[in-house]
Amino acid sequence: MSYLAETEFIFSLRPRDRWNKLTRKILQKVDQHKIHVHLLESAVQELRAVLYSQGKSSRETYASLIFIKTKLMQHGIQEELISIDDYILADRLREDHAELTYFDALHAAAALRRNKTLVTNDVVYERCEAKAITFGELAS
Amino acid sequence: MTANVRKFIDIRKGQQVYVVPKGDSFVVIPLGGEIDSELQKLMGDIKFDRAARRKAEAFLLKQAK
Repeated sequence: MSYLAETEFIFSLRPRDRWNKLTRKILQKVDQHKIHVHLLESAVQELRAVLYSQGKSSRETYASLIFIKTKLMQHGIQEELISIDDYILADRLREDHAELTYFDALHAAAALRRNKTLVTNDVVYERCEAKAITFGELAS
Repeated sequence: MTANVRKFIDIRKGQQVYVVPKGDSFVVIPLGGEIDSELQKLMGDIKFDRAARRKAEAFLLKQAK
């Protein structure tokens, strides 16, 4: 079974993150080839916007990205690129769902277009009918 | 990295590096310590929640103007 990870998954790689224990279990399942997880390019875009908006420097941002990429590579997690069709569907979703942020809509559109399930604990995706699975559900 | 190369950049013998292709050359970025602790150090102070997502969106849209 293949899943798409959004930004929450990246932050959960931090050892003291509230979801880190579950993420470690998910990574174990990835290592055992029980599941496949791809990281959405939109998650990397959102991560950068979060870091910059919280006052992080360019150096801190690229250093973070290097460690994230290295961590993901250790587990064979690949990136899922965003296409023009994803942007089209994202903007269409935002017409109907004002509660979605720019990045929420992109993550949701990517999942809907690929008919894949998002790994997320955020309930916002239910509202636009994107399939989602919580960290706890996926880890169990 | 040979000693001759290390003379020109701030890097220790045996230190891990990250290499990014750049045209017909490479950018070599020295890495610090262990991945998990570095991630915690770099991003550990951020509370990632809906407020952080909204703030990131506002930042992006401001940059786009």
